[in-house]
Amino acid sequence: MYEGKIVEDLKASELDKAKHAYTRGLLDCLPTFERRGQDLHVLKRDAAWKK
Amino acid sequence: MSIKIEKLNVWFGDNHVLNDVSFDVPKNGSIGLVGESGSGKSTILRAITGLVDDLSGNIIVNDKLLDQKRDKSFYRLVQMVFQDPFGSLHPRHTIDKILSEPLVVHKLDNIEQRIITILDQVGLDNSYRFRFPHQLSGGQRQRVAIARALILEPKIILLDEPTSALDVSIQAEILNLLNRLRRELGLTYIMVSHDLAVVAQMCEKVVIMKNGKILEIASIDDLVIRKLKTSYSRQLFDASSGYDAEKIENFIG
Repeated sequence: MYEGKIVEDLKASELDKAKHAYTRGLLDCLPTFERRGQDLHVLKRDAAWKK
Repeated sequence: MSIKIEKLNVWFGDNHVLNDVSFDVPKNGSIGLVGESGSGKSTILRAITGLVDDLSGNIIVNDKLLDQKRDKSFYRLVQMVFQDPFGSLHPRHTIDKILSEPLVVHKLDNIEQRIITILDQVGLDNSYRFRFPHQLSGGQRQRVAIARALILEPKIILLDEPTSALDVSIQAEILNLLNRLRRELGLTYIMVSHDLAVVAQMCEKVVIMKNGKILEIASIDDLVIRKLKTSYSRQLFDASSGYDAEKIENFIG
C-alpha cells in the first residue's frame, strides 16, 4: 500500500516478481551481502504513485 | 577510540546471563552482535553503559580500565542509540529540549549552535527544532535519537537494533547516515542486530551469541560465504537467507 491505496497485490511467495516501482523500490532498499559496504539505495518517491 | 571487553559475566539474580564474554573493537571499527532473543546481545551494551549492577570482568576504553561506577566523562565518550525511537524520546519535550539536556548536564556552552550543527549532520533542518516527537515520523525520530547521542561528540556509539522498528526504505536512509557518520567522525560502533545483512552492511566483524556465551567471532568476509565454525552459526545464516520449511524442520535447539 502507498498513501492509503493498494498499488499492487501478488502472492507472497512471488514477491520477487513485483512490478510496481514502489514495491521494487522497497526491495531495492534492502541490504544484501553482494553490495555490502556500498551506500544503500533509498526510495525516490514518485508523485504518480498516488494516482 | 578502541574498546575491549574481557571475561564479562552478568547475573540477573540467580540467572547467569553473560558467561565469559570477550571481544575487542579497534578505533573506528564496527562489530555486530547477533543471536536469538535472550542470547545476551543487548545485555552487553547495557553492561558497558553501566546499567547492570551484578557483573564481573573488565571493560577497557582507549586502554583505560573502567571503574565499576561510570563517571560523567565516560558518557562524553560512549553513547547509545536505542531500538525504539517511539519510546526513547521524551513525549513532552521539544527536539530542542531533548538535544539541549545532555549539553546542560555536561555544562557545555554554545548550546544553540551545537543543536543547529547536529541537526544538520543527521539530515534534519532547523524547522524540526521546536517540534515534539509525536509530530515526527519514525525515521525522523531515530535521526533525533542519533543526534542526541552525537551531540556530546562521543567516540564510541552503542547501537541497539537502531533500525528494527523502521520500514526498509527508512532503514536504508538511517544505515547510510550511520556509515557516513562513522567515516566522517572516526566513530567506533558496537551494533546489536537480528539481521545478518544489516550487520554485513555496517560491520567488519560479527560476534555470534547463544545463551549468554560467544559461539564464535567471524569476519564479515567469512560470514557472507558461510565460512562459519559452528553448526548453530550456519543455521542462523540459513535462517536469515529466506524461509525454507525443510531446513527449519532440521534445526537444532
